Amino acid sequence: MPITTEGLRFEYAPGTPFSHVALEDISVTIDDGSFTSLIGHTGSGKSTFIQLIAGLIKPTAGKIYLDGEDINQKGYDKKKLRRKIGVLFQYPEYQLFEETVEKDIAFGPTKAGFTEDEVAVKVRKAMELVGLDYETFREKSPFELSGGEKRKVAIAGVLATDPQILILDEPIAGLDPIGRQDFMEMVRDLNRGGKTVIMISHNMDDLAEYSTRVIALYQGKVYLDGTPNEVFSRYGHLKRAGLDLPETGKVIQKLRDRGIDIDREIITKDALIRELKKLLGGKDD
Amino acid sequence: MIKDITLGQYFPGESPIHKMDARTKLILTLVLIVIIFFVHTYIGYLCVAALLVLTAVISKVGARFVYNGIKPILPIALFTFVINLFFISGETVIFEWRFIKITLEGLRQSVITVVRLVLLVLSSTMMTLTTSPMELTTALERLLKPLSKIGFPVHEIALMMSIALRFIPTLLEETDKIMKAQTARGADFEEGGLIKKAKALVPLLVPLFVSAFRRAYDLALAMEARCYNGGEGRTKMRVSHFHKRDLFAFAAVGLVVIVIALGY
Repeated sequence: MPITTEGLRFEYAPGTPFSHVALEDISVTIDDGSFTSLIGHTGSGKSTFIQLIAGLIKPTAGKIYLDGEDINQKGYDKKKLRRKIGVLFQYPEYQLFEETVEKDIAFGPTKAGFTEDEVAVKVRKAMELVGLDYETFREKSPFELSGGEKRKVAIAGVLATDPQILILDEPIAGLDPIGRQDFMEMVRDLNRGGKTVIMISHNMDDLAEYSTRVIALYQGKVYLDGTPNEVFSRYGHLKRAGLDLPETGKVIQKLRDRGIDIDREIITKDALIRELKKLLGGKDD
Repeated sequence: MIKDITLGQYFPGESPIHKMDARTKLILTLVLIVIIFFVHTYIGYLCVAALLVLTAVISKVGARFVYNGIKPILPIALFTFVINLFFISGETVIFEWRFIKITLEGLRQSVITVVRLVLLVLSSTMMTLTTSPMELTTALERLLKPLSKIGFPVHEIALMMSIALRFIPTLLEETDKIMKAQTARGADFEEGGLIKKAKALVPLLVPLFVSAFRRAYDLALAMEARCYNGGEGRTKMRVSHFHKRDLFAFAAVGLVVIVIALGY
């Protein structure tokens, strides 16, 4: 179920002196099974965009289609939308509220209308997925857990509904390196299992590694759009939009500055290491 | 959107009214509110109205914002007008139909009540439009300072007020965020009857309270880390003083008070 937007525009507080256009004329299609990354400077409209496609706010103008259906038309079943799209916000652990971990994770699937038995299965599955032992954690209060565990519960709470489209708004902020890698690998596995992933992050290395498509937003408009190789090789453009390069890009840029001819489309760590070995090997011979 | 609710209605500006010492504005507003109850002539009302209009013009706030300030009481004003119109009896009947009777005295009284209400709200609106909440609490603290001699915790109350004011926008933003997160999980805050709606608030209120306590704890720690130990010997970064414009303001209000005291 692809998501298509047409001429999407969003304005905060229209008609007042505080009005501010956050997004303008966004027309994109996000394909099924893709791993799309959204990058952009603070205030570029990334978060507004995902809130729009998740149906949490209404566009000022333009249309959003999910499976060809306008999600803002009258009579559109929002429940269906919530079942199809799962949204994980920044610091999701602040949304925990139930007495036990199990009840909290069950909130989403219950609201989505699954039967009690189905919910129990889904909760268990979601907990396994994020690496929380079911028997150990189910009866605990989410408020007595550590920060990392809370985060896992919150993530499980979103995954439990088994949404076909996963929207992630800077989900790795505040995680330690291991937690981050675990999380990214989990997302990659979910994506390989067929789920569409739309992710906002400032960590260009992760995005370069895992995405199939990168969209850069700048001042509310689509600025760059393409494969990670295409987008992350345009150093000048990225800089102008106030964006960072992946670490590989920084290394390649330094090498190129010293006259070493190395392909800018290399964006992952492993590919760079291979290329460097080849270059060095060539000199040694 | 919940974020659009502006609390307090401060309209930033550089006018003489904005620059006036907040203590002056606080005192003069109180004076105006009190004397509005003593006015009983048209000239008196005219004087107060003229003064407030003049303030509004000098402050450059703009008619729309002033109107927004008094808008909430308009329904109440209309209601009192209608009630007064029908229930105050008098001698000069100007309209009669079956049991409905409108008298000239009733009409006059209703108009006066509405004018009074509008003027009351207008005077406090002009103060809040031109004074930031922080200035206002500082002014309150300085005005109430003498009370601390008799053990009244003036500083603590002022601090609590400014912290509360400071965190209202933060909490609103937080509410908006949590609401969106729970909506995305399938929570519905709009559907159902009263009980269902109240129940739907649990996923919103629990995280909100948790985060409010966390913030309070963090703030207390941060304040202690920066050596806060109560109001004793604490100085202000910006201290406002009385200027010529404050004198003018006192004179203008004083003049109106005299006119009214003379019986006009």
